[in-house]
Amino acid sequence: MMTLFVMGAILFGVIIGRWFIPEAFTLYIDPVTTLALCVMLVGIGIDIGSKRETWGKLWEMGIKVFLVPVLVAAGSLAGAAAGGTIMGIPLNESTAIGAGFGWYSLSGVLLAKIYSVETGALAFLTNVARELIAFIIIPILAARSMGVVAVAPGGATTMDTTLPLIARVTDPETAIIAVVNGLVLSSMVPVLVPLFIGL
Amino acid sequence: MIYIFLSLAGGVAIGYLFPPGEARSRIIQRLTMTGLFILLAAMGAQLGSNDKVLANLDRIGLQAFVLAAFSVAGSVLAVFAIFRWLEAGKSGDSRKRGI
Repeated sequence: MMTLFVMGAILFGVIIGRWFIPEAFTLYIDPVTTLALCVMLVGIGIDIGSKRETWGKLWEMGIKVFLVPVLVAAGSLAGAAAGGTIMGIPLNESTAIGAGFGWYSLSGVLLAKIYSVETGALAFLTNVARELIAFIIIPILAARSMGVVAVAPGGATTMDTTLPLIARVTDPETAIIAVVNGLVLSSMVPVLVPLFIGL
Repeated sequence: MIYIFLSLAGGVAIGYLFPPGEARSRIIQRLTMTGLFILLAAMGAQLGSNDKVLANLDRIGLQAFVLAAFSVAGSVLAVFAIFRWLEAGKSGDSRKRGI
C-alpha cells in the first residue's frame, strides 16, 4: 500500500517533469517543497514524540536495548563509508545515504531537497535495496539463533515494514527490541542525514 | 537546514506533550502523507527532466546495491561482534543467544 503510494507519487512527478513542466518550474517549486518538508517533519516528529510507551520501554529495558540501535547506526555508517569509497562516492554523500537506515522515502526526499536530486535518487534506491536485503537476511539470521542480531539488517524499518517478519521468525523479546530499535533509528534519520551531508 | 531540526523538534515536543487521539492522528497522518507526496513528486519531476540521472540508472543501481549491502553487513557485524563480546564476558556459552 505504502509502496504503491511512493511509486505512484514518483511516477507522477517523472511524467510531469518529463513532458509537462517548463524549465522555469524549479524557481517556483522551492517554497512549495520547503513547506511540504516542514509539514512532513512536524508530522513525523509528532509520531515519534507520541510513542511514549515505546520510549518508556527503552528506559525500562536498559542500556543493552539502547546499544542495539547505536551499533546498527555505527555499523551502517561505517559500511556505507567503506562501500562508498569502493564506488568512488564522496564520504559526506555515502554516510548521509547510509544514515537513511532503510527509510527510503524520507532519506531520498531529504537529500533531493537539501543537496542534489542525483544523491536523493541514490539514497532512495540504496534504502529500498536495504529493505529488500533485510527481508532476505532476517530469516537466515533468525534460523541460526542469532538472537538480537536478526534485528540489525532492518534498520529503521524494524518498527513497521520488517516488524511482522521479525515477530514471526524470532521470539517476543526480540520483537519488542525491534520496535524500540526502529523507533530510535527512525528518530535519528532526519537528524543524521542533514548532518552528514553537511560534512 | 535549521528549519529541518526546528520542524522535527517542534513535532516531537507537540507529540510528547499532547499525544494526539485517534481522530487527530488521522489528520496528522494525512498531512504527513500530503507533504511526502509533494516531495516525492518534486523529486520525480527533477529526475524526469534530468537526462543525466536517467542515462546513468544502471550505474546508480549498482552503487545503490553496494551501499545497501555494505550498510547491512556493517550493522550485522557491529551488533554480532559487540553482543558476543558482552556475552563472552558473562559466561562461556556465547553462541546460544545473541542477548
